[in-house]
Amino acid sequence: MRALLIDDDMTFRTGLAANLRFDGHDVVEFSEPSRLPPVDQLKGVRVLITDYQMPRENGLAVADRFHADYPGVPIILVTAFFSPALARQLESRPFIHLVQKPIEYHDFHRLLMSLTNPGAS
Amino acid sequence: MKPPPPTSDSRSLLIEREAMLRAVLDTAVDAIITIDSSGKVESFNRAAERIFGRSAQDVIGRNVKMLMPSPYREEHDQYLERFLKTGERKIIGIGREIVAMRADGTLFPIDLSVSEVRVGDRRLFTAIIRDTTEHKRVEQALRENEAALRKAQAIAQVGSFELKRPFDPPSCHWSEELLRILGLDPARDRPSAEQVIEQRIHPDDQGFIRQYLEEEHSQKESEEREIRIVRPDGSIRHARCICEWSRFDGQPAVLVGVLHDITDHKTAEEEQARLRKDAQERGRLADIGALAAKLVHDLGNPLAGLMMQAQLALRCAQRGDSAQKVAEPIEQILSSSRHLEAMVRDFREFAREQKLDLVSVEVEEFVREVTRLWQPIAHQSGVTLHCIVAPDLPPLIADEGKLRRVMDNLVKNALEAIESGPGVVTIRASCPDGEKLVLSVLDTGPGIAANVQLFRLFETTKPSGTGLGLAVCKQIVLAHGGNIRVEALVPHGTAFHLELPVQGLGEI
Repeated sequence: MRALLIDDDMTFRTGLAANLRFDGHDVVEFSEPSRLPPVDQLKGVRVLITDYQMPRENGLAVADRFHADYPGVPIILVTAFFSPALARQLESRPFIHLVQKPIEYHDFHRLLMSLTNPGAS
Repeated sequence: MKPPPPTSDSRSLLIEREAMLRAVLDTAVDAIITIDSSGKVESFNRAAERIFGRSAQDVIGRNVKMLMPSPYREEHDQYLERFLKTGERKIIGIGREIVAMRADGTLFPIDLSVSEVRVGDRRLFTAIIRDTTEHKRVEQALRENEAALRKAQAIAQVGSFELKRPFDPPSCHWSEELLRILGLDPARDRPSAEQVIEQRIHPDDQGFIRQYLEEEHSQKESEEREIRIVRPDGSIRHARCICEWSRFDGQPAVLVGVLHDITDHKTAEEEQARLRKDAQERGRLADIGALAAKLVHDLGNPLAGLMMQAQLALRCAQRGDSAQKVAEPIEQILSSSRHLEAMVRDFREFAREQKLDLVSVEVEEFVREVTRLWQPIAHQSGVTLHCIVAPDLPPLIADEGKLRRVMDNLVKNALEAIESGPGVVTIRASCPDGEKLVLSVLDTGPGIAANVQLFRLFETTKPSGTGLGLAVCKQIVLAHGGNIRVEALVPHGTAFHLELPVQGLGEI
């Protein structure tokens, strides 16, 4: 499965990417949304994993854009700074699944599999 | 018996005497007018012509009351008549200040003295008149100046004094405002210098004034000192006293001085210092609140990274991967842990209240020491580090250790901004106005984006920065009563300026 991972925190991003690769997934990682390739080059991505708070553009804006181009692809928003304001913003975006940092990799992977392969669980 | 007829000798003598008398009258500065017992003018000298604006020809033979305004004009005949009958005097032989009238009708003040002269059985009156217009004008101007001075002293809360030996009340002049500053009543109190010193000056401040009074022959320049006034009600006022011996023929004659009531200014200064400290404390608490919220995020993020890397290392080890493969995530864990440790250290520094250990810092020595210690690191990066110190800088009252921390942080940031040379970092010290010392660190790096709020918590432009270093620097500088600002340099580069009060926040 091909995952698109965007997070400015290098330790988390490389750790998560390495764990996913360990489990046989294909991961394309970026430290910020501006480095993403053109949208047509993202075909084949089965899940978007994006951090919420990033220096130039937040994860919600990235998610909205991605969802507009690839409406059926699940999106996981990870954040260490959950707030009621963010919860309100997520109410109108049912296509986004929230994960709070820190998280055990195995729990994350279970969620990932349930989203990308719903029939298997 | 009739007097004998004059001989030719006595006649010429008489003419000579009359000419002399005429000359005296005509050269007199004051107006001299003679009238007979009916008030008719008999003589009117040149000064009278000048003062009244009338010719002798116009006046002689007419009643003198023409030279007087009402009500004197109407009363004069009666007055003269009464005097001739009763001898009752109002002016004759006494003199007084009255008002006279010129030919054009203008009134002017005069000093008038009148004497009676008997010539045979005739009774004549001679009036000597002095025009006091100029004198009155000067007097009025003097009164206005004094009133303006009193008003100015009251507004500025500055009193003045003049003291002469033996410094008792007749030889002491205290201005009204000075007496008010002392809490005394200007309408009633006339204290001696000793009473003022003993009763109204704080005991700890009396020595300076006594010593200055005793050193009158020492050719000392003026003396300036802050003293405390103890008012009769026991309240304390703060005043700045400046005094100087005024000399006459090289000898001390009068001790002149001013006393400026600076209590309000001092109270405002203390209040300002208190408010600044309060604001600083509130700002610090608000920052700590923001910090706690940010910590949840900024510690949550690296913790999440650590967990991911640790789980990866464990899984690699369990799978039997090579040591090198297992070491990769462990190195990441170590790197993140170090970053976390730096963050906790900076946070500890930030959260701690900035208590200053103030000492007198020799600025040139301080700046050269900072430059010397950073020189090897700059050299390794290919950066030229040098300092420019203005001559004759005053010593700075500051916490040297904390100031050193600020400078170290700024120099480190400047070197990191350039990354690798060539480049120049300059440490500059100057004191443009004598009150504020400016320490600057300038670099020729790429500069900082305009939208970056450098002194805000966790704001950092460096990948490994904690975002606490400059916030701590600002806190330290504010605690010194100073300010820190950043300036973008042209064509590129950044300058940080620390502005610190030379006198610090008060006494060491």
